[in-house]
Amino acid sequence: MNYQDKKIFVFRNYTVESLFSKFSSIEYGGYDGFEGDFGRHDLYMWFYLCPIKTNPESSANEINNIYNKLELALNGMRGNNATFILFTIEDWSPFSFQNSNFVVSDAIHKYNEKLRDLEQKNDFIKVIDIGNFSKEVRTKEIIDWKYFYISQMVINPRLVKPFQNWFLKKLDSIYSIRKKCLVLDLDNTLWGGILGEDGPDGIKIGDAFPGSVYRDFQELISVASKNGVLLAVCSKNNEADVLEVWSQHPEMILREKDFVSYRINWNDKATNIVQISKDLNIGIDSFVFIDDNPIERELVKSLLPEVSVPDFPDQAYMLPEFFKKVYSDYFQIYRLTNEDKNKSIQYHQEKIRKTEASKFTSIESYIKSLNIQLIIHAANKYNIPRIAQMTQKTNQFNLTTKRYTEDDIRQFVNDGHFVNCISVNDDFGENGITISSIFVLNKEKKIANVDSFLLSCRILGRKVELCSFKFLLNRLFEIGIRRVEGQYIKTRKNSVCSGFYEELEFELVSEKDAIKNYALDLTKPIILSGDYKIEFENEK
Amino acid sequence: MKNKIKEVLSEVLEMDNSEITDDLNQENCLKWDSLQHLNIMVELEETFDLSFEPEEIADMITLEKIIEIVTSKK
Repeated sequence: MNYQDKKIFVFRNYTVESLFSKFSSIEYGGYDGFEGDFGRHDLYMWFYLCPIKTNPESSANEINNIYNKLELALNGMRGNNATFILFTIEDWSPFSFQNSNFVVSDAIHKYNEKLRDLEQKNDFIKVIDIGNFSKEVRTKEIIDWKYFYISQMVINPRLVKPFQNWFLKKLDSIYSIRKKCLVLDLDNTLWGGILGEDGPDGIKIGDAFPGSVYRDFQELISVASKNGVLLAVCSKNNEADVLEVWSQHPEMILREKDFVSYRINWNDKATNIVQISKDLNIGIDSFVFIDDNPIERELVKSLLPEVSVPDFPDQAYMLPEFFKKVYSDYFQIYRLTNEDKNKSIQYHQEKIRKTEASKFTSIESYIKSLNIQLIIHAANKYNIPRIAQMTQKTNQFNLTTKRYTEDDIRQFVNDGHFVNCISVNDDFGENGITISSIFVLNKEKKIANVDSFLLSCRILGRKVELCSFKFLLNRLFEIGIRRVEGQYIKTRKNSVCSGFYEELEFELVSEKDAIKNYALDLTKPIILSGDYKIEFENEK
Repeated sequence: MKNKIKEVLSEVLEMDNSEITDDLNQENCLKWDSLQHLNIMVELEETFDLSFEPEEIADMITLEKIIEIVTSKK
């Protein structure tokens, strides 16, 4: 992501300018200051580093002071719609001669706890753990004393580049851009050895090295899956053999139920990945492919350049370390929404639904049997993170593909526009918030403009988009809107909604390049299908 | 040696090689501010596997002086 258009302000206690030199619009507060020229910036950062003092008591005092300053700065921050990133402090002070003296570490511990507490209570606050950076560079010294004394830089200037890379990744995860699905090979990837040659008893997984490495690798992947990473398998094997291993092998961590899709056959892996992406209804660029075989990796890289293909470690014992990096490079997200945590479960429910769908003769009777319930939520501080996340991640059913941050969404709401999200439930389970909409209102002219309307691909095919859009139109009618204008902006991925306005009987007003302009005069309420239950959350 | 030093400067200062003239110094080069000065020092230390003393760092604010000090330490 490009952050060049963001106006950034940094509170600090040491020289940190070179760490952020890649940002073009950035200003710094005075050393130890808390005055931030509030209201003029999009992003504020509290970048106070561990005070480097010779006396532990004065270090501890200083840390308490930093928190008091933070509270003062926070007062200035409130209500001006900017994000506030707080960095934790880590004990980098080398002057702890007495092992029994915990005053500094206690003060740091309390300070970091308070930061997390602030994050919990304020959704414009995000905490970045600086320990996360120092772990990455642990082989080098954080502090270079020469540069510390001549320039007041705590972080060694040699670490500027690693810091910049690390920090950009953190920013990316705060502004939430990440992959969705991990496609895994099996032989010598999820277990040691080759199933077809070594047999189910011969593959290596379990307590003894090298099986222990593969077991840990699978465990890490399993945790990632619980945090919303979708897992799929693409392997050259006999499917029956693999299914046997999945159901019988006592040491296996990941089993059939853990994978939302798999292709176990002798076809080329690029074709298989394309099919998996069709199964799951997510774009090729949301995939990360892991395979120990460099030939397979090259094939996928060259045929599907959108797929991320990390290099596989030469030694099996590096797999856990490797996975940590894969996770932080591609899947790290700042705050897990409940939707993320439940995503794997939801995709599994979708599998069952698809089987059910084939039993019904018409799509309508299938939909009716699902007992779909739509609940409309006006945007509020609890769901704004999810709405922003949806605008960032939704590529297919997205009429305009405008990307917004949480701040942007709050701005729409504060300006009085009609911003909602919709959760969809049915007999198979809760899908959570899967539709978001932003209507920009011009009440004087009685016109509403569809700024954004988007739907998560996992609920495509149940026609909830039509029903909920009509419901929203009726609500607009009730508040006096008489004309709705909308755009379809064509991208490489959103052809699935190209006919949406036609289905709603909007009139095509004009068309230029990739943009089609539509309009609809609202003269009376639209009659809704009885197949869905739909209501506003607070009107239940 | 001299060319290598010029390369480091052009890389850190994000200037074209041809702009790194022999008389370049912190005074006549807008991009060579105090922060970039540190970056230049770090890059030179890495490239030539040297360590400068603070007094040297304070002195090395002209290309001429840089070349002199780096050469003397090699």
